[in-house]
Amino acid sequence: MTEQECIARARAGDETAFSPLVDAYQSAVYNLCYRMLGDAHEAEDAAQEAFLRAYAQLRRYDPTRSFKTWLFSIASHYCIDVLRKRRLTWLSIDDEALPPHPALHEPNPGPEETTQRREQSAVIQAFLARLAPDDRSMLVLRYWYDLSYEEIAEASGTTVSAVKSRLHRARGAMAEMMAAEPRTRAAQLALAVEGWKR
Amino acid sequence: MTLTHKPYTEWIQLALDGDLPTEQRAELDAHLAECQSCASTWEALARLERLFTQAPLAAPRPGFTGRFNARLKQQRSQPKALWGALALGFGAIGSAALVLPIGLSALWSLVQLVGQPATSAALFNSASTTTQVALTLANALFITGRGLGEWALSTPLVWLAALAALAATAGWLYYMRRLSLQGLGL
Repeated sequence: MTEQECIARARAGDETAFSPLVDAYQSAVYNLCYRMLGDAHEAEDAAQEAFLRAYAQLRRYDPTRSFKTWLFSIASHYCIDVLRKRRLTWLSIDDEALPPHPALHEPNPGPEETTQRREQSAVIQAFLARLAPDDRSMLVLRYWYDLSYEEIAEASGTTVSAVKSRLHRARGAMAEMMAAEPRTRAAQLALAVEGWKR
Repeated sequence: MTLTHKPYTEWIQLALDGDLPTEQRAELDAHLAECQSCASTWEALARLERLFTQAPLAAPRPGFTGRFNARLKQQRSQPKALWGALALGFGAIGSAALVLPIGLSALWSLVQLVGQPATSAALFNSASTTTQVALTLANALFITGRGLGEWALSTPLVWLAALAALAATAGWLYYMRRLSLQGLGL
């Protein structure tokens, strides 16, 4: 059964037809939520909620557009709402980095590589946590899903020029964080990760 | 380091996205060779780019779809529960709406009945008579009790018999207690 067939059947009221879509996009949606919220439990809850909302709003989905982008739009908007509701606590880059996620996709990594990747994940989370929710979603959609500016604009409900502006601002802010606080643990980790890659 | 070296900061970002035209890219490269500030910016953003592009994908715990299906079922059952609660609530309100007027009208009728002079006089007489009967009965019981007491005290045989009955009862209770303790092996 193709993606569009699953969607058509789910729209017709067949709950079981939605399961393959959840199977197919669970990691992508979960990772988006995890990168936005920085907490594994919250990410699970948010990803579940995103799929529930997608199922409930399936009749509004335009089949001529990308289902993945539409799903990301629901998930990122939900995460932004969560972040706004919890009145985002800006994490200091000097603070202990967020605990690395226990389940990261790594094809047969060695122990050293696993450690490095987890530290890398913690570095990114520490940086992301200091950005405004909207800017954060731009970076997540851009880097983890390689969405084009147009796709990010569609998922975010904004214009391409606004996406470029926010993305550039967010990237600049993160680069400044790394440059301005070179002695922090996070920045050291970032440099260590880079050194490991060379 | 400052990241306000326009337009090159903007060009650096476009270059990292692969969106900078070739001519401007050449100009940017030339500028980077001369400007330490912009070169630092380029280095920082390129480092960030590498950090992100190599970042792993976080995955949910196994069984995500199963948990979703369970949650979907739970969510779909909630409207039924909501309708049930609403039906119950409306039923209670409806019942109250029916019972309350009946109760109030009955109460109002009673108040009106009591308010009538003949009824109130009859009620007063009835209460007065009932009280008088009760007092008479209590007085009769008191007189009878006092008479019996006086008779018992003035006749030794009666109170001796009463004392004997009391002693017999106490003895019987004591004996029964001993029997029960023996039966329990204590």
